[in-house]
Amino acid sequence: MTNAVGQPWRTALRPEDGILAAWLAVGAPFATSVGGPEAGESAIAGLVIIGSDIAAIVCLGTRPPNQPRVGLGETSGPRWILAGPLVGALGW
Amino acid sequence: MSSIGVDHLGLAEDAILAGPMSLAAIAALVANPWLPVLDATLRRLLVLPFTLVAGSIFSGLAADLVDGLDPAAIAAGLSTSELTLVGFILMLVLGGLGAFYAMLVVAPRQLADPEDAGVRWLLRFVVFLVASLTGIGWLTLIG
Repeated sequence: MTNAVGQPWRTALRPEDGILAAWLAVGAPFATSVGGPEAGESAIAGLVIIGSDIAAIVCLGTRPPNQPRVGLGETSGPRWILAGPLVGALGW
Repeated sequence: MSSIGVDHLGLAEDAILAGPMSLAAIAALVANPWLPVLDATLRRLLVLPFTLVAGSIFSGLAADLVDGLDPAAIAAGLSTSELTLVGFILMLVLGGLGAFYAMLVVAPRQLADPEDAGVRWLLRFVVFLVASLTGIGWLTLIG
């Protein structure tokens, strides 16, 4: 059985989708319920947030092996459009 | 998000990293062609924490938005003039989740590992939506 673009359905969801879904449905509410500044979790949360920002910046600074080296011209336009919200969120 | 991180650390000036983080991200984008090639799987791993953190923050915001809404009152509202307000709030949450998903999940993942996912993003969004609403329900119950 294939989807609209001819790929097997099993490839429709990547591991990230499952991890994100599990985190949002169970992990995040649980962390919110047990966490708190008094217990010291707040500083850990702060470090995790800043660490995730830095990891995203590292990703922005590299490129996958199958992506050709492009300059700042037209061919890199879509990348900048995709990166716009990300840059905004990093600075927020 | 850097401001939220600094705020959690208890520093007085929570915007201290906002500028440097944005500048570093722009510099990384500009210097991208000259920086190293990284395996796509590793790049996907690098953006995963960002999407998880962003998801947590957005779920918290959405939970605050719907906090105080009583499901029984919503059901009763279907036959009253409050229907418009209830519909508006639901649209805000769903629209917000959609915009969030496009900007802070789809975009980073497409940057990390460009793929021609097409209609598969719809299925992924449905999974995300169900999980988010479940989490928001938990957060609202917890208060």
